[in-house]
Amino acid sequence: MQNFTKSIGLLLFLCLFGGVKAMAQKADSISVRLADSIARYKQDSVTKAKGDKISGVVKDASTGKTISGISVSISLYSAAITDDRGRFTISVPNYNVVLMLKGQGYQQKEVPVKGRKVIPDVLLFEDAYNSIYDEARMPFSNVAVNRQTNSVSNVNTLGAWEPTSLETPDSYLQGKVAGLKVIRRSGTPNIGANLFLRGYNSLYGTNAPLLVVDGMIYDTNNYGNSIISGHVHNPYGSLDLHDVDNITILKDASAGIYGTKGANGVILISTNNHPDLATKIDVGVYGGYNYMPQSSLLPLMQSPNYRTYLSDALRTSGQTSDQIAAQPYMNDNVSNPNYYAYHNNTDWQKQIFKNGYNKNVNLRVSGGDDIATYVLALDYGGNKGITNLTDLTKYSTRFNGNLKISKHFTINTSLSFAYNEQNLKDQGLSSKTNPIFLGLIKSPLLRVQQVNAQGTESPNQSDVDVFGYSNPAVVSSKSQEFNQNYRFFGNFNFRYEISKYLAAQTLIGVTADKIRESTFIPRAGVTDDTLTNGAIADSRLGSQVTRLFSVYSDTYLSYNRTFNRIHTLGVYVGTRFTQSNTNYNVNLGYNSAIDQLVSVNTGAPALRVTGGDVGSSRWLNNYVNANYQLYNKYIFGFNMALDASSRFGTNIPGALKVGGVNYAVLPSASAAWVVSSEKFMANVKFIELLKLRASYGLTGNDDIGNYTARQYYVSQNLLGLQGLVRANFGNPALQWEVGKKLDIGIDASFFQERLNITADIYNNKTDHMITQTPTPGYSGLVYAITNGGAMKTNGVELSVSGRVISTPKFKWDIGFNIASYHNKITTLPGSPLLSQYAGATIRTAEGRPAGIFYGYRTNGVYTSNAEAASAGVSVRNSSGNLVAQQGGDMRFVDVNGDKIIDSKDLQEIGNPNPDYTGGITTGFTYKRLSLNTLFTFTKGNKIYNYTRRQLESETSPYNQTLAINNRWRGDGQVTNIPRASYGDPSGNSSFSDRWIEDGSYIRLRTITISYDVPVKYKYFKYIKVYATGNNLLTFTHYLGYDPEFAANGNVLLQGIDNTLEPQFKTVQLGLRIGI
Amino acid sequence: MKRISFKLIYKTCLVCCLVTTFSCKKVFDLPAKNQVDAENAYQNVFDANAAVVGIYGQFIGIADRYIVLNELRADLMSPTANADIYLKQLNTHTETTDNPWADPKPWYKLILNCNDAMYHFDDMLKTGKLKPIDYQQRYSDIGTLRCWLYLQLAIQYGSIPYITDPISNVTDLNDASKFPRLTLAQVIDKLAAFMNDPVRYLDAYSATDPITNATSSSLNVTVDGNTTNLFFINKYAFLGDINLWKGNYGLASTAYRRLSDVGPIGTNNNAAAFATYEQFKACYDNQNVSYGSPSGTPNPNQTENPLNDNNVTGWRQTFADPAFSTNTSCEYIWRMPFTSTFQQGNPFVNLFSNQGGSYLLTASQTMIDNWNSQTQRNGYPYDARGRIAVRTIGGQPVIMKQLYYYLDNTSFLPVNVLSKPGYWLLYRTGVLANRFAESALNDNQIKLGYALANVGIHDVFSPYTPNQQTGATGIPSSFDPTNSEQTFLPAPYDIDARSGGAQNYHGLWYRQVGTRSRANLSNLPASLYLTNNKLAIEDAIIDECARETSFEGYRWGDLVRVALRRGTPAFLADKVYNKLLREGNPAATAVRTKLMDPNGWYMPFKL
Repeated sequence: MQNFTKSIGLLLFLCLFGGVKAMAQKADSISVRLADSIARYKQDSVTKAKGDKISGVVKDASTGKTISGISVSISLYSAAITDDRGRFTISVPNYNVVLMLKGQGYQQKEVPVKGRKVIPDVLLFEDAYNSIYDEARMPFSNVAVNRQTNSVSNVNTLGAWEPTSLETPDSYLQGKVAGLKVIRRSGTPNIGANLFLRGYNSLYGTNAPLLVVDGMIYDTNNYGNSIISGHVHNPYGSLDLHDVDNITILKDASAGIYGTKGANGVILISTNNHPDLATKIDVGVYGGYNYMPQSSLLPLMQSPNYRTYLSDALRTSGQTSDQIAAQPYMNDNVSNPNYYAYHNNTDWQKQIFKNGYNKNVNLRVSGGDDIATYVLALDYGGNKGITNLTDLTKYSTRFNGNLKISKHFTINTSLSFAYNEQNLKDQGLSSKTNPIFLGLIKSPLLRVQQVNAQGTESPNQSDVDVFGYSNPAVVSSKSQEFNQNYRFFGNFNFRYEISKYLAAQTLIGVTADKIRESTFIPRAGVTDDTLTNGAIADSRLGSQVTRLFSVYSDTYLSYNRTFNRIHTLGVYVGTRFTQSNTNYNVNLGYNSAIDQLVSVNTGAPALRVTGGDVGSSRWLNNYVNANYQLYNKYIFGFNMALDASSRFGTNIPGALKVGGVNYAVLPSASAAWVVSSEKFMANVKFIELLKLRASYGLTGNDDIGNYTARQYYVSQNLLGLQGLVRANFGNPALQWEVGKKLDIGIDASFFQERLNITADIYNNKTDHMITQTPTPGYSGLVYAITNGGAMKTNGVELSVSGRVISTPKFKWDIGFNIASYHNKITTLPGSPLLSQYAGATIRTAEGRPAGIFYGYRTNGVYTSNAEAASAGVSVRNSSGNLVAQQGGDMRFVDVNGDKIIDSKDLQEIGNPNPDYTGGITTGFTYKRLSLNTLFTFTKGNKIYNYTRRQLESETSPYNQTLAINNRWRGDGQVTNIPRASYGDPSGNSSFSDRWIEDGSYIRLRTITISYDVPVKYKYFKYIKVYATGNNLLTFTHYLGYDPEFAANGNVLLQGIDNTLEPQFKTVQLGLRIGI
Repeated sequence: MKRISFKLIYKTCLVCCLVTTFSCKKVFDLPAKNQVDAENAYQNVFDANAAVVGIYGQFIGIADRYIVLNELRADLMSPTANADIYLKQLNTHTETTDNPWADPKPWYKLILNCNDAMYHFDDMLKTGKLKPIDYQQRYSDIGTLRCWLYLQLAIQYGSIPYITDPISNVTDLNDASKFPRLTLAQVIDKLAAFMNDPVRYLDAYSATDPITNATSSSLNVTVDGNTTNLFFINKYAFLGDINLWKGNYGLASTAYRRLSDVGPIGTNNNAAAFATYEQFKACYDNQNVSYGSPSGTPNPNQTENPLNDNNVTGWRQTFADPAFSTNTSCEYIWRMPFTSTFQQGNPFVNLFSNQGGSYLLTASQTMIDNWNSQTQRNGYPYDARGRIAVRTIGGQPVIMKQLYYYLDNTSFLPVNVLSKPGYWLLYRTGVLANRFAESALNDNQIKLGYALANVGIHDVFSPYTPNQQTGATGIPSSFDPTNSEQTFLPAPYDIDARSGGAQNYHGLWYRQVGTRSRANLSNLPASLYLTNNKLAIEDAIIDECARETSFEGYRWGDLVRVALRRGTPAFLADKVYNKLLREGNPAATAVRTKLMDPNGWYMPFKL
């Protein structure tokens, strides 16, 4: 019944629209017939000549001088140009119209007449000014902020010539858009960032906004994990930031036009658009220096302290003093043959970090004629990062062309190819092969090179040490890990203008992407691994290829018309279709005969592991977009998406079914009222714009797995026989996650655009959220994947920008944005979910935000055995037995008071979600010199410092930080650092608030000084010399290298510092020349 | 112009509508590419074989669970100090629902896979994708395995959801009302009904296609040096077991007898056909406890003779035979291998070994006491099987039955710490012999029960009373066994164990002595059967089961079965109590109290 109602509703709805269109069509043909007649033309001219007029003066906002040559127009009615005194006079059909102002080198501007006959002086800023009349490149048309009904942010890169070569389009957005939380994954070049737009929308699906480049979906998913530990392939790394013109971010229900891919918002990028006809060449060259000051290194113990610590720890391992003294590193007899190998003071940490260089050359040629225009861009860059472990070389090329085949038929094309190759090393949780981690934990007593009994060093590097730890110098110099990847991304867009108002357009594009990785970890100097079948792996080899091929098409009809200068209607009806095929195959080998054999096929045949995956999906998105403006004051928008996908189940309750296919029906609507255009505001002169807007609608997330809904069988062997067993039950009711987005916002501008404010308050709800639903015991499944959850995120955003000082010589712009969100899981089937990662427990529970750290709280250290005994508290160890606490043990908070510290005493100890995040920009321009800065900040987010936990656990021969010198050593000592305890039987290093830190920071993210060299030769259009600094200052209390990192894109694993390459500082010099 | 455009819109819309409504279903029906989509499974006999192989491949994964639940919850196995809280819970019957050993999901995962396979076999039969004979073999095999799994579940959980439908819908799962629970007795009724259905195919998979003689579609093959026939459940054995549980002792005995007689039966007096007389019957000269020279009764001044304690002879061969030899082929009825070549790891090394394993479980003190309280025919005051089943390694008693393939045969050090070969021995002659004895006894064939468990039919049904000390009956060579040494009972108890005489008779059962005599233990007193002391013989059989098949996963079932049959929970409760008491476990009394109520026997079923 419900389905029936819905389909009827839909039919009616379509009829309604069809009707509107048909009526519009009628009116259209009559008016055109009239317009074509000379009579009408004459009549019009006469009316205009006799009719009302309005006049004004246009001035430069900074100099106050009048500007000539500015075009002033009234859409579909009249036009004028300012004279040499900046004055214009223009016929108006009535006094309610809006004047459009445009001019070379200046911003465009709209001036609503609001019934006035004389307009106050119109001030125009330069075209780079962050204006409310800047156009956002919306999916179907360009819409200026002042006409937006939705919450949309707009970033113009202006060529993006100043950022360092480390920047990719995702990390570039950091601090620039209110509500877009950008967390750079690490300091590894090209590694990119995790993007979260307005918090979280999904627990198991993607939370990354959809990326659309030049009208075509740019796939940013990862298909198959990297075989290089801790590495994440970043598809944004194949987009050259220099090519990006404009980035528009759809933050609210307007993203619903992308149907079941729009739940996390949409980032629309347009590249190298609008080439001029004149041939132009832009060349940019820059180079920089990456460095990390000594003060950023972690304070680790040196040999004397470390030896004391080690003997303390070993004493708790059950070894006697004699046994400890007999260890080679404790035997101080110089004639001992191992003396020189174990009596050193090596700063391993320093060995790892090496300052590096980066360089980049980019070239852009554009030009054309009436028929065809083009932009061709080339880019070459290299970045050695900070460790010399992850150096990157990148090449990219892009061709954008516009071709007018006939008056009505145009073809646009956008083709790009990018190739990156990068040396990498294991990072993150790979304790045997992560050189950064090894550099921290390696005992300072040991030596980089082998040494003989006489103390003479060999050219060979030391092997695995007496504790069984790898030599970080070997890992960084001898292991070989490469990533090569390319992406071709191109499309053709055919547009045919059927009439003045009606056009048909179709875009067809292809994405071809390939990532090839190969790895080799030598046996010498690296701790052996144990494989699942029990074999020992000494050398480790791997290769992996991941491919993505997808075809995309987007076809729509557009109808745009203004009726009687009162009603402006735009309707877009279309359909998008994409088919994606992905596959990856991975080969892992072990134990090649010698360390010179590095390719995977030289591994021992018996230990070879191969694997892979293939997937394909199809997605169809039918859409209608309509927007309507009444008197330029009342603006309405409507979106409707009807999606089908191969991922959806076959029997979704309540879904629209057509021809046996389940459709997601996702409507959304928005409205705005431009209060400032009302007549009663005509005299409120300080208000340039005041607009209230609201939107509500549905979006969807189809990241539910290609085949999750289906029942399938997986391979199961019985010795050498291969069989099949059922992998799942299939879930025919599996559907997209539904994102319901409500947004209320205000856009305001004051004092002739000197102060612009945008504020939003939103409430996002995710229904039918994918969860791992616990299933009954008799199901045999650990959990089933169902749409059983719900979540909500609400928040506020504010961005303010303006020009504080505006004088001819000196200008000062300032911008500020801040956003806060609050996430809450509202429905979660079953009991709270506990996830484990890097020794942390993360709790997911109803009524709480996602990703909460869940552990013990501590309350100091028992000062004496007597104190511990009187407390009488025991800790339950991993085998469930109780261990009584003693002096020097952590005093954990016993929540339930049963004197036993166990899982019942876990509590929330930190929330990785920030209280607020944002950015501050300032720009000074003094004559030809300008200084731009960007500060980014985050406040109140908690970080789990896994790395520090390794360095302060006092449970193993790992080197420790200086804080451990303050450890408890005897009765009566009051300290907050527990005793050294080998193997940690009392659980002192358990996951607790000891390892949770405040991750707040404010950072001088970029600073750029540039100088426009006065050009004498006419060949040069401009010459710019500039210097940029990246990450130069960071204010934080965080004890790790840097508070910004992302181990994982999963919302449950945020804020976990798992020893990745840290963010570093870069200074660079650049030159940019326009010819 | 306008009209053209209008037409164009109209046409485009029409095309769009057609595209979206009619062709879509196929467009969006993309079968899984990375796995076998349901729509591509079960197309032919090879797919049916894949289902069988897959289920058995998964079945190996519950080996540790089966052993741990059946032994640790009973009285023969105990946790060591290394055991975690969950194993200790099993020991003291205080399982919590978060105890991973008490999780019913691994069992149901298999059961639902069996259901799915059986559902599709039915479907394939209907649609002609499977020949009736192929269908019957596979359906009966998977059906029997499912029954075995349900019996295990029922004896561990008491009342369980009994599901035979393939669940294909996630939403159906959460409706508990669709899955009513059955009690142990009800489950046994269901299983017995399934197994006793005459349509069941009870033999092993045929080695060739019965019609075309092709071998390619057979499941009876050799793979990686193992014959797959031993991988699959023995349906006669389970048919006997379920009837034994049900109390259909006649049916049980028929099945056990049928299984015991399996073998290449040739001419009666062909002594060379070893398997004829040895297969699936506990005989005096196979897998037996024996001693090296000097043999016979030891001189009191002499030191003890060396036990035949190696991998290729004697009782240890059952657990250590490096090859599938003639000897062991007579013992093994159902056995699945663990190899280091494939993913399924051997879980027993971690459970039992103190070298390369965690040494979590060991023999209970009462089990060791049991062995040590026996006397052999040669007067040695212990049961030698105890010395083979449990060894002291590094000062710790280690359960060895599952470790002989992992440890070196003399040094008992791991051959290769990282390579953990081994077997999961699920059914063997030692079990069959005692089950047959139990079944015959309860079918009121008391003398036969005595003979099957002890001494052997040949001796017990001969006019010469067996010698208590040596077992030798002192039968004169002139004795004519024509009308003796056989039971003269109706089927299935019509057993011929004649040997020798003028005709040189060799009845099929002439070498059979029962596991007790096979282990060289002194005879039980004949008075037991002469006085019709059924209970005492049953006690003796269960006690013998402990000595013969301890740590192999039968104990809990044996205790539950006998306690239920007798209606005396104390039978079970006391045994567990004594184990805990002997080890000084403070929970002993509380456990006894709990187990005195049959409802206290079962683990909580986590829904």
